[in-house]
Amino acid sequence: MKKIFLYGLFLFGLTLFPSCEDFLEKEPPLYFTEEEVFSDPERLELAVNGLYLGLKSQYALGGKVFVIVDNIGDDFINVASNGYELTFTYEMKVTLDRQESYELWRYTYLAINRCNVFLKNIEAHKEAAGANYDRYVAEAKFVRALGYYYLHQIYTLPYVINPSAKSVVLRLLAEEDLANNDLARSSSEEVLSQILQDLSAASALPTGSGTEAYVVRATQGAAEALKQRIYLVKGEWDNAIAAGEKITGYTLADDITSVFKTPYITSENIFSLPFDATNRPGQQYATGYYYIGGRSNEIDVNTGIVSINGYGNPKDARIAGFTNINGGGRLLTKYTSSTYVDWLPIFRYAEVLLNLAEAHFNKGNEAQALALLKQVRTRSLAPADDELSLDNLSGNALKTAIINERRLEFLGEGIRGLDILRRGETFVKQPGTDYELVIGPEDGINGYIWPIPQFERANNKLIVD
Amino acid sequence: MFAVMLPLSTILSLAQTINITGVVTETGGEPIIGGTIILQGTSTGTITGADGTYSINAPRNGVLEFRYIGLETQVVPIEGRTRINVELISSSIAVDEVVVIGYGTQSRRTVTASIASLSGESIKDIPSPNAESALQGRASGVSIITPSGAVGQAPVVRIRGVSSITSGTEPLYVVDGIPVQSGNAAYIGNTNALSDINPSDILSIDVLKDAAAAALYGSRAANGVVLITTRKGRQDKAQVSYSGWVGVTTPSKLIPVMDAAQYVEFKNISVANRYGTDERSLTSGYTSPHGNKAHNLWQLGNGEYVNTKWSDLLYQTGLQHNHTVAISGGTQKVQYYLSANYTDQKGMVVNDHYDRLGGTANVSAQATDWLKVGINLNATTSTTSYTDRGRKGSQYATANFSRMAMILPPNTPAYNPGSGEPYYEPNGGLGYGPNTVYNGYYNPVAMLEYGDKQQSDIARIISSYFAEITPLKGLRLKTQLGVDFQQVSDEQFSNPFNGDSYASHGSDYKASVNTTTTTWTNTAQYTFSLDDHNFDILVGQELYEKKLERWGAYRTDILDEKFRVFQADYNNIYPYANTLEESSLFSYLGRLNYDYQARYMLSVNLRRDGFSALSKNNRWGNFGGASAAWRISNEGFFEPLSQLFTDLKLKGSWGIVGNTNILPYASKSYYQSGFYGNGGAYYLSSIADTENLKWESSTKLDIGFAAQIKNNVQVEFDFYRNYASDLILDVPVAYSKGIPGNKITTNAGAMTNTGIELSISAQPVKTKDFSWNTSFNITTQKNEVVKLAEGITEIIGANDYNITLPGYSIGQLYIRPSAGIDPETGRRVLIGKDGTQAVVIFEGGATYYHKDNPTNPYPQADLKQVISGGTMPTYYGGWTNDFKYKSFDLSILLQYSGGNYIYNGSTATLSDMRYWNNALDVYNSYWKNPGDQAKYAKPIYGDNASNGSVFPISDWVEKGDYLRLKTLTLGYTFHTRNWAKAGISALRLYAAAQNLFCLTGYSGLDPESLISSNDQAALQGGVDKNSLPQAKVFTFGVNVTF
Repeated sequence: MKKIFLYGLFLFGLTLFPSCEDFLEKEPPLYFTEEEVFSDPERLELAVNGLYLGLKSQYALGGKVFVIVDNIGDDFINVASNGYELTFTYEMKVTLDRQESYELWRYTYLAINRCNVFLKNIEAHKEAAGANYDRYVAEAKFVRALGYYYLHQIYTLPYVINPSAKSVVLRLLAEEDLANNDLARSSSEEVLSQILQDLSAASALPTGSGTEAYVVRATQGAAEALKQRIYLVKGEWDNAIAAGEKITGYTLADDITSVFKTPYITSENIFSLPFDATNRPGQQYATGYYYIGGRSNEIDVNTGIVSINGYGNPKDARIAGFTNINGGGRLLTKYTSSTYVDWLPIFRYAEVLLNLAEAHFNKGNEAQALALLKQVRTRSLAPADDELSLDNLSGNALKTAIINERRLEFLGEGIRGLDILRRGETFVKQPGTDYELVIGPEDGINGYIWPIPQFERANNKLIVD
Repeated sequence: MFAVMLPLSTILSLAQTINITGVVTETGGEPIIGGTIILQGTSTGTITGADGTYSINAPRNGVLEFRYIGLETQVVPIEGRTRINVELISSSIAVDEVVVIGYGTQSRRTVTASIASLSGESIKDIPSPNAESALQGRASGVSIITPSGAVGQAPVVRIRGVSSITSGTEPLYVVDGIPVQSGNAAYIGNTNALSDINPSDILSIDVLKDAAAAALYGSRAANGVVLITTRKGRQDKAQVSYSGWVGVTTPSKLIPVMDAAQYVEFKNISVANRYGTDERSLTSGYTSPHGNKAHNLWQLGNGEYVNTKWSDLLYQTGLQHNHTVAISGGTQKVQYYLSANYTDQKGMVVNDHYDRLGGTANVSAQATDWLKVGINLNATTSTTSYTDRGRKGSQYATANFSRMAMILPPNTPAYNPGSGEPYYEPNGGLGYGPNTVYNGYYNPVAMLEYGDKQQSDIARIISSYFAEITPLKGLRLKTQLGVDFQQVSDEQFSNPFNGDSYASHGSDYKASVNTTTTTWTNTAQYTFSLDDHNFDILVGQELYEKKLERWGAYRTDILDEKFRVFQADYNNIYPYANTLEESSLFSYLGRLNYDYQARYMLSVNLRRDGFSALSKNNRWGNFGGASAAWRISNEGFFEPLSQLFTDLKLKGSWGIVGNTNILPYASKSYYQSGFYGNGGAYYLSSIADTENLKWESSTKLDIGFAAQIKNNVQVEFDFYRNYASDLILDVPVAYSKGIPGNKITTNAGAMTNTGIELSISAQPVKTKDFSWNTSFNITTQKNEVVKLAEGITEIIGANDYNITLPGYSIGQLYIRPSAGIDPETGRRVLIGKDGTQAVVIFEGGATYYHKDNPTNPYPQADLKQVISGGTMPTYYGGWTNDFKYKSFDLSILLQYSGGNYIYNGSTATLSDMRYWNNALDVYNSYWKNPGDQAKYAKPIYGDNASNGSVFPISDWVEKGDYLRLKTLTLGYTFHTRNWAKAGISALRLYAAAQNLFCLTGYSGLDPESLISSNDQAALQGGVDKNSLPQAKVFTFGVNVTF
């Protein structure tokens, strides 16, 4: 009897097996399907945030790009002796295998493909997008354009030297499978045209400033600011002026230092990458890491911009507020957050003004150029304290003043290296010292610009130098 | 019911009892004192007296078992005899042992498949905390690579080569019928999940190598299956045993580096070669207080100079000890084996530590005559901790101890000469010292003193519970529930003064990882015979589920610098390592074993598996295998040869098995959530082959024979061929495609492994006092990738040192060719794509120039990598020799491997012309004058291209063949036969040594010490870069039974 009972129990136990198909259905509890994201208007809105987040990768614009550009430039000295902290970038010896190069390449393209996939998927989900459809498309294209702008600048010989120079590969379609590894490099002209084309959708973007929503996502102002940079790259001064003049609703902050303090939102900020405890870069990737304590980069006080008369003025708010050279130091103190949550300003109004100044100067409009220059300079340095008398400047002296103003104004903001490259100038670092380094456009991928990384070449057989 | 039956059977057996007497002797005639004789199936028994004689009453048709520790148990049917003399032989050679197969056991006589077996006895003296290491050199077809001498890490185990490219190459481990977690279980740390099984508790390890043997494990069997059987009690009086050892461990080899004077001299030469003078600061704006040269000596107050030998501070003589106490025994109804163990290991690397406290309880009970129940329980707590950051493939980490021991400058002090505190400078690094370049490496002494540590505390329970019903003779219904629970509490502390967390002012990562696997198996087995036809049929069903839960936090900016733990006060806290994963497997299985008089044997195995991680369309797979054998020696026509071959069995097998070692959501494309500033965000984080991802399948063929020649030589031979297709491959894509992870997991490609296995065991000498047993095995393997994914012609290893492509074995070295040092200029010569010779001129802007025109830059992109040698050994094996002379025993295990190439990347590290220290070899053989035939280039300060740091160069490719004295054991067994009064029935003392020497042409630390961690071992194998040496271990141990 007992035996029969136990056999019965055993057989009953077998019937307790769950249906095997149910048992094998395991959905990831922490992830979302494409459908879940694109068919829900609220998630879709935040999926646009995800596009910016992609470009904000610590390997790309949200981390190393500023310091890469400033290590390429001539206003800082890299003291790290550590390949992971951009020693090779500073020494202009970025070869095919350098980490900073393949990471920048990889993660910028990851951000670009996210935009491409978004642009594909949004077509099937216009309903969820509703009235925001055009704006979402314009934002995705803005992010893609911004990514291509930085890639173009670092991997392409200056447009002003050769508009048909080989640039980066132009990926505009969603990549979701194993096909299409091979793609040849587009020319500088083609890449810049594509960026401008992406920005032509800007009218769908909102206008506005001064709040987080308008600063961390694309506005018409941000799109025009990027256009302005492209026109400077191309030397199209009229277009640069036109773009700059469309950027309205912004003013210079009274105090430059407020731009770099919490909440990082001033009347001057056009587009910034936001950071918070939940989204911050890792140590050797954070822009702040390189400067805080002079860990990797020190200001070149002997031959950099601050050594030039008029640009190391202790009364200048930018010297007093952002450096310790008054006390004999060499540190940039623009970034102060020890947890690396300082926001990174990508476009601010001061740049628009100085871009306009440069464009006007090149058009021969010296008066406008001078007025624009003074607007930026006098914000931080009262004319009475200024060793330079700007009003007397003209010609090359005025041009130099505009260039120098940019160097000081954007010290540590990822501008200087790009300026040298777009003008096709020669890098001269620490001139006249034991450490002098001269690299010109003729050096090409042997130091002037970066070669396409080996990891791309390994799987894209159409890459040629 | 039970109460009624017992007296009845007693009466029946009493009725026919006779008295049997005899003598039990050992080989050679020595009487055995204290041997056990048991009437099979009862608790009746006796022991032999001082002259080896015994007397027992038993039924005329009963069966006697003669047992003595260390000797083969003999089973003798009485058949009415009243005098039975028995000679027990040593257990090292035995034809008719039982082997463990999937879901059961089988007599080796009738095994048709290819199974390597190892008894617990043969591994008991090995001072290793994990069982799989013990297989090294002892089992044919099984390759074990010990990545380094660091304690607590898992070896790389491969059975008959590599069957998968990116989907895991480790075998499935099954303990007492339960698939268990293996490999590294920690998230931060580096542990070995199999270390939770005490080797002393292991009765046997059986390795299922061919498809027929492994097919019952279906989709998980492609890499072979390792069945571990733990000790069980048996019907006997309680037996208490203790085994323990204590040992010391040191690095097997270190590479000599320059001392302070040599370093300063040499590095200043490199500065002068680059800048024309060595009187120069290498850092703009820095002047050294120790001299006006780029590198200077640091003079102390007593006139002596700082001369730090960093390796002395990072390596040590580690002390290790291990203890196991076990009690086993049982009655006819209940058998038990209980044990407790404690092991404590301090490694050869300072602060490497492993300890384990665990227990085993295996109890089974014959509850009724038709119901058997039991429990196997293994509960362990262990801690693996270390300060070295070079583990888990992190040989490039700044804080890798092996690297730091090589390259830290000897002219910089480890301790501040003034304060005696660890020396370091601001900004987290070691600093300038007496040199003029900031050394960003850390002071490892500061890390050690200020509490830097990775620690993984593990709680592990491997348990199984079973009930077996025998409704009628030969039919067994069994249900078994297995639970393998593992909790890892993982932590990494970094001090706020010097090292990784200087900038964040102290940090602590903490993660909790819970992994639970549950297996519920239901089988019905029917064994019956029709005349001489023997059948064994098994059908079953199995559910398997694996759950992983991980959560944790990262804290920075410590409040008080005294704190060294996560629970202290920190300013910041961030979420860390949070995840949830689940996967499940649903299976049906069946087997038929048939033999006719043990002469013709056939085995058929089938399994159908459904796996949740695969795409819905291809979730189910059918696996199976068949094998047959023919004992030709039992045939009449074999008679003329039977003098030579006492037993000869021909066998063959064929089958298809699968591989499932993929992530739980490998077939899903998905979005992840996160934050952008203060707002939420969703972003594409995985692109998968959602429609098609399916099983990887391996078709395995095995043909061989097992022979016994003249009763004392055994030969086993197998030819195997394994064709793996539909390989699950992480196919890399061009970075510019922007695919998350730069890869898509898909089925593509095929690979073969072909080879032979031969093992020969013999007892060439056997006299009364002296015996010699020898056992040799060799395995050859030829691995060849047949094809990769559509449109994919090659896979470049993630570190860019390896390439995998059709027609070659997996993970070929892929290195840029170099041609030594140009005797005229002292420059490293590289060979360009069209054979053009280029030279490295580091101080030139372009670095690479035409050799015949050194002002003309040579494009780096034209320095093409070429296939530079296979990294898979093509042969390996071992040779064991056991000698016994009277009470002494000596065991020697030689282990060898070869046919592979190694990239000696540590040589690149040791000749890097940045501020790193270099090998003494560099000091002695660098290029000085035109005409010099030098090994190393003209030193140019900062040069990391000539030496192979920028990219690897073929000058550092070496052969990996080696022969190692793996273990040497000398033991003494006391004659305890008259010690009964002291309560001791067996006592053995031994001394053992591991890794005493390694014969090899390889110039690096060790041909086995490679960087690859388990998960990527095949695709980027054969690279030695800043690896740790192996450990040389001396132990002294005792085994005693009461």
